[in-house]
Amino acid sequence: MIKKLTLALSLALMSTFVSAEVTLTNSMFEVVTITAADGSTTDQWQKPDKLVPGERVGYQVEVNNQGTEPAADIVIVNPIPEHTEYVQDSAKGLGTQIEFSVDNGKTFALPAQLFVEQNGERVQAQAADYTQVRWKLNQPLAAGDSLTVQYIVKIK
Amino acid sequence: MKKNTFPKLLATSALLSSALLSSNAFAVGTDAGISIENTATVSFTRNGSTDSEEASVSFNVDEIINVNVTGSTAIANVTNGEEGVALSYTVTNLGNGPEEFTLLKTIGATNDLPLAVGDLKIYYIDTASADGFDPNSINETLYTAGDSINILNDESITVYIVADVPNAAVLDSLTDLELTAVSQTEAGGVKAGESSFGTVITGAGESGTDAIVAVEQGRDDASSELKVTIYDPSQTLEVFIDKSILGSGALLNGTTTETSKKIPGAMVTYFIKVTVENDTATALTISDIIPADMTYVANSLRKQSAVGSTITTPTYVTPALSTNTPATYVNFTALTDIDTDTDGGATVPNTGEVNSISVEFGDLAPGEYAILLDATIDN
Repeated sequence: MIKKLTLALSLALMSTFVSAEVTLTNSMFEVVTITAADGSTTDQWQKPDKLVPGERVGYQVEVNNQGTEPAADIVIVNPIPEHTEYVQDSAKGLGTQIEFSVDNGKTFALPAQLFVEQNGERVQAQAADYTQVRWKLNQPLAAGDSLTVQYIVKIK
Repeated sequence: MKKNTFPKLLATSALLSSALLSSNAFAVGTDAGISIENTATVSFTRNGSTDSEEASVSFNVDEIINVNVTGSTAIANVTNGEEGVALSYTVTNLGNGPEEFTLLKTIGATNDLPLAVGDLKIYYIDTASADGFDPNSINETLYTAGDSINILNDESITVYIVADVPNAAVLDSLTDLELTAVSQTEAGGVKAGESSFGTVITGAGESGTDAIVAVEQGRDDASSELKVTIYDPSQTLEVFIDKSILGSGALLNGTTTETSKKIPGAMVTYFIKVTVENDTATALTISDIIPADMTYVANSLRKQSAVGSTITTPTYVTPALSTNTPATYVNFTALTDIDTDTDGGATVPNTGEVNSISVEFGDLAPGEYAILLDATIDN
């Protein structure tokens, strides 16, 4: 198998690795809260500007099948970066099953089934305990199709 | 890691448009300059074979510039005249990188004592200390205005403003002393110490990251108070005495002539002024020894009758030397040499050769008081 390796850098600081015409792109954004005149708030993903402790960083991971055959059994795994913690309910991905790990990727489960040891007791894992996010596609990715998943972390 | 609470931080953050910086930003956290790496992996099967790809992205954590200054909540109780009174402050670097700060001392809105800012000194200790100011401690450094002090992130230093309480400070008088710590980060002409909250100083952070001013004007201040709770009158009272020759006269060819020549037989008029400041001087007596080879002129003691805040030196009046009679001065009352009367003036000893004179003033309120006396140069 011939591996073609290109690194694409855009405004949104991304890198792309191309292999066998299935590409993976990892992009980062600064997630800021916009307060409207009526006091309501929405999150906006912007070009990174002030990446300081307490700020949120959003990652978008895009799988692109540029080949001629469908790609099946697609699983995207992303360890929560060091010095950050996962923001609860922020992982998204259409048509995927999203699971998390609290043991550095040995096992994955839905949030309700994740437990950690705390002071000798088994307690429900919190978002900050997550070490990995995993997206499993329910369907194969057809040739020419792409899929984007995302999640947000907070800088400790 | 120390546990800190930063109410001031949250208060200022809340004021800021959250579009600029989210409200939960700015707490001491991940060090500035640290690289945060994210690597995603995708695995898939195609035509029966499994393959995987990786994609990474990273960024460096930017630097927060933030500082907190706290003063003492308790008022420092002092005595008038007390020297080396220290008010303590803590300066904490709330940023996520080491930062240089300068210190400023100012006098607050209340300054009853009063103190002058130029008389205040700043000392500091490189660590947080609860030991209190000790002028002999080698750990305490005298701060020179304009010097930069490096404080590591999440670390504190202890600062003292040291003052001498004026002797005349009255009971219950209060003075606020303020300490300000100012960030010295600067790049491209933008100074953190002159920037509003949220200003980004490009490239001024650790490892070339951006620095973000997270405290208005890159500075914080706090005041501590000192109050005179014990009044010591002895610290207050000040008495000054000043003796001068007003003039002298001599008989030249039978005529009394004013002359500065101190020739035998010349009569010298002395002017003695006493100044009382800040408090009442109790039972004040002026004593003056008649110099050797001079003789006191009988009944020449005169006392300023009107006392005022300022006594001007009287103009010399030539005495009648032929009759050895002291001159009369406006505003001065003649005192007898007798020690049994009530005018306070007397010679010592009261009979025979006069060695000295004394004038009892009694209790004197702040002001100026004066006497005159004459003595002749022995032939």
